[in-house]
Amino acid sequence: MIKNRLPSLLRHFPEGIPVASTRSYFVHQNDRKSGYRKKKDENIIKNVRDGLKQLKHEVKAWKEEVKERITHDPFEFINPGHVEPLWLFEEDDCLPSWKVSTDTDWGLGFSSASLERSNLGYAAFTGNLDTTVPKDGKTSRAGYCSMQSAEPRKSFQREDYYDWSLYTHLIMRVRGDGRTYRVNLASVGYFDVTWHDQWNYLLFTRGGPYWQIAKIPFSKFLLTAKGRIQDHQGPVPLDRISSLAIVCADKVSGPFRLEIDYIALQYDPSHTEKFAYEMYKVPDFTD
Amino acid sequence: MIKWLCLFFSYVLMVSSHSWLGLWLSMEMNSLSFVPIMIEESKESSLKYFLIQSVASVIFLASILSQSFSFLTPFALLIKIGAAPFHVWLISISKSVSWKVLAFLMTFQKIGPLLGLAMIQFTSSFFILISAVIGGLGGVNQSNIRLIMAFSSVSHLSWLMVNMTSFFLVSAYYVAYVVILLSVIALLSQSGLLSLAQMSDGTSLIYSASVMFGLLSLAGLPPFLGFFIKWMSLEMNLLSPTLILTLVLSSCLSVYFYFKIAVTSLLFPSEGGAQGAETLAILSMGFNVLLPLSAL
Repeated sequence: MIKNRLPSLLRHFPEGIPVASTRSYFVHQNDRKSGYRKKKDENIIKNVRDGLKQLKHEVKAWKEEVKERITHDPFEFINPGHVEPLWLFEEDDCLPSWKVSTDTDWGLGFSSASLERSNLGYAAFTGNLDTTVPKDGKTSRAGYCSMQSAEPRKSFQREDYYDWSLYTHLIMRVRGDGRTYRVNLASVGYFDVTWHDQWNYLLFTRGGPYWQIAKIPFSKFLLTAKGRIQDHQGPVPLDRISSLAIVCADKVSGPFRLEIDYIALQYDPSHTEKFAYEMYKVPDFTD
Repeated sequence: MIKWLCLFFSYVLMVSSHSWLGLWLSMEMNSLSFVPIMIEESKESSLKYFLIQSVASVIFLASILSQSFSFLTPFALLIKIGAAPFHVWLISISKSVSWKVLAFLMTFQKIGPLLGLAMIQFTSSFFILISAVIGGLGGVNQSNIRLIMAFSSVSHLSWLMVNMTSFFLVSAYYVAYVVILLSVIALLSQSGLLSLAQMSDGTSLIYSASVMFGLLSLAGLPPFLGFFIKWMSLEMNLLSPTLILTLVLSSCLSVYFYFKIAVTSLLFPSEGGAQGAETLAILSMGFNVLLPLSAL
């Protein structure tokens, strides 16, 4: 439960939201979620019953995987310029698989967001960004809203990755409101040093009634970890992408709206750049 | 620069070491020099490599220092080399690293463990069979070129292990394998293609032909260099019929996935091509075709 907060600020928070214990005194990270975990259901019998219900579906999925691995349907040739759709929001019903979160969920701010279908059938990521900092003595900055794709899973809920190594660009057809959004590619690895690695790209939207097609080369993504730009940069590990997220956190309070038609990948062999940013050797700071 | 110097010095130490401890020391130096080279490309892969090599080094050190654990020596060396059934780390790493690092992993990084295995003349039929079978079957349903080459490396390890009875035979096979593999990897890295699905972009005929020759040489088809080293392995070693049959059949499986790459590159020819790539292609063809014919 929330403790040590002023009553005037407490009334904005829903009851029972967990408080993330994000402080860590060690280099080693022992929690992949860094404390941002929801309380698990402790009812063992219910968990076992739910697990058994899922078992049949998971075994079926596993059989399909083995069959696919053995038969390996003939692959398609990817021609130069080939566009591979990932999420077609107008046609597919993929909205429920996206997770929307804001700083309000963790008691770290007052923003709100939702991801719904617009009148014309596109995905509309809308909400209100609030940069008011809650006076809890811990938070110094506030205001973010994000929509994140579901992490791919194999049978028995094993972790899987998107393999985008054949492609060079991320294509998004969006209609924004003139704000700057951040496109995040997460690549959660086995080891704790890579758990929080994200590659970010700033998507500048035009606003107005016209759509824009953003063709973002993967070489232009910048490595960050827990929101901090890293000194040692490198290209995106395209064979191990866990999720894609679009974040509104441009420090400007007010409503936002981003409509998305589709998100796709493109193979452009003329784009040979591996990484766009020059790496200067920084001096060793011994102090 | 220092890491490259340390790496090359470790190879020199490996071949000149006269004791197990010297070999262990040089292998440690080798892996510690190689990790910074890998870390530039992929943190994940370099960490996996470091952990696997460290565990294998610990087992190796324990086995050489203590008589009770001496039976673990070949296991430690097989883990280091990436032979089946300890090959999973090699396959996992191959996908994420560049061709340059993969070339090192599949060739020069094997010097130390191979020397160790040659010292104890390790010729276990079980490991030869399992490497041949897994190397052959694993590459069959792959479309990622780097994974195909990694499985081919596992398959060739079985042939290397067959020759462990004689230091000359294993050295001859290894040198020929390195020459063929480096020529093939040099060509594949020039194209920048990662998967068979991308090969529709088109490559020049001479490039495709030299890739094909290199791959057929790796497959062990005459009159290429690869055929002669495999023939030498079968002729000069006393092998059971089961082993010979398994090795030959696994080579047939390897031919299938090598042909997949070669034929796919030939399906989409184009007239263009970089001058440098054509020179490399001609050199590669020279190694694979003319070198064995000159010996005849």
